[in-house]
Amino acid sequence: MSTERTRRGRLPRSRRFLLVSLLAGASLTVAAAGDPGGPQGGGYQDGRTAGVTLENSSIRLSGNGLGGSADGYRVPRPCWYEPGKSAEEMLQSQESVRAMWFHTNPGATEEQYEEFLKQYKDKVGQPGKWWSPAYNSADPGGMSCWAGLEGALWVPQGTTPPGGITAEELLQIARAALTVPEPTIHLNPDAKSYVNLPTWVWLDGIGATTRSVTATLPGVMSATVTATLNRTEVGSEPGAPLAETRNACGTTGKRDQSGGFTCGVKYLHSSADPSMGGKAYRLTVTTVWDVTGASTGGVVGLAFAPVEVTVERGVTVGEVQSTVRR
Amino acid sequence: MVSVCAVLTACGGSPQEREFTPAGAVAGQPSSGAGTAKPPVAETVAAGPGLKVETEWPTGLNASHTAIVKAFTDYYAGRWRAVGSLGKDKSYLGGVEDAAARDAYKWVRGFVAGKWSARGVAKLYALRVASVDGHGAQIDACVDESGVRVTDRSGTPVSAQPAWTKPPRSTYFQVAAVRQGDDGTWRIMLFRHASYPDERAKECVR
Repeated sequence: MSTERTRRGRLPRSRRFLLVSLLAGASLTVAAAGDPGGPQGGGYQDGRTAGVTLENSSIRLSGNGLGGSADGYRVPRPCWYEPGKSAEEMLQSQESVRAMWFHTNPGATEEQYEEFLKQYKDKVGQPGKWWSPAYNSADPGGMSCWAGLEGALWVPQGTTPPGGITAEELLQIARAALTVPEPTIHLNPDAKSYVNLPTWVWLDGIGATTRSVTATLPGVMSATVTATLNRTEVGSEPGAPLAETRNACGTTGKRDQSGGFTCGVKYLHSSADPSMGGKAYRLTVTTVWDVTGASTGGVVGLAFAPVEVTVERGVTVGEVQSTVRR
Repeated sequence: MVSVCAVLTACGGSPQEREFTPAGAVAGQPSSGAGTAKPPVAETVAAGPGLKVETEWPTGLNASHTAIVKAFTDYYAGRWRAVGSLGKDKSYLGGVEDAAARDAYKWVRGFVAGKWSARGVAKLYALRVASVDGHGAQIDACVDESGVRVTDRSGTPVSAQPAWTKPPRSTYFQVAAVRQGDDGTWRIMLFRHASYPDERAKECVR
């Protein structure tokens, strides 16, 4: 038994109402009160560059890796089909929007309506589900990708249609939703450093050094992506020969380096030095998070490129003035 | 009745990362050069007694993108024809499907059920094919409905005009997801919008 579709696009008018019920449930309410006119449709999400905002999806996201700033990771394909209603549920939902169907198909006959319903009635009693399209609206290509999919597909039990969500895609969605915190740089000395004086570096605000996101398609599968803070790297601009960096920083730098300078920068020239052009040094701190992921039962596992978060601040370096008296 | 004239005014710039070009352009399709870009072409269509829709067509569209943009402009003019005809003209429903069909019907129904109509000029500009993916596409547009007045059926403006007829809410950003059917025709599947004070809406203000 193969997958069958209820097509969108140029169809018999009797088939053109599918997603009204999929998206709006059984609501037949017509807005008759209040002002007419104005913009159409729901709110448009601005700033769509990456991250995950699921539309028409039953996928649930959870975990302590949610809520930060997206790092720009994009899933390979921002739309997919998901299993949805049973044959009986779909028929009921389509029958429940009968009035709206006739509103949006002016001049249609009862016979045409019955023809429209037939595709749903035919599936009643068969094992399987109607799969419907979903998308990531945080992806700039999500909406057009979604629009290119069919309104719904009948999928026999135990099979996945072309374009149907896979464990790997669920993992990709979890990865796109994963965020890690932006650290706060701490220095010692803080306000100003001095030539040949080691400037210690450590971070605050990291919180948990393991962050995860789980994407769950209820009753079907789940996938978890975990980011683990591996190390912190310090950099200086300009670097050698004007500055020396120490990068044995561990995961979050070193607050106390009285036993030995291992994490930070030793500036060898004043920032007032003509070679600096009158500018402060730019100290950068990068946290590197290793990212791995696996689906339920380890069916699919993926290693992702590390997530790197870089923050920076300017450092003014002065010279220690000494007066030698004889 | 259709009249065509050149529009000499153009919008200002916009954030480059989003490739949003209020003057009207196609994502990923460079214009013929900033200094030589042709102004959009305005098309004015009668939508009913005293009611017009003015559309600024971006220049340089290929045939495919023209068809995509036309799916939206035809619908937009069609919905105002429905209002201008007091609900008798239902041709707008031929250009929408699924959730968009529901939204479109409810939008027109809002006028018809309240025994309202409209007069004035609705403007559509900065049309842009934001992305295309197989048989799906996204269209972005700016809408200025500050020239529209809601009227009673006789054409007399009602005293309490809706907020969307007045600046700043009268200018907004409209998005439509469209799909090409098996017959090759593009139809709208979904609407989204951004109203003032959203940045997208502000970028539409001239």
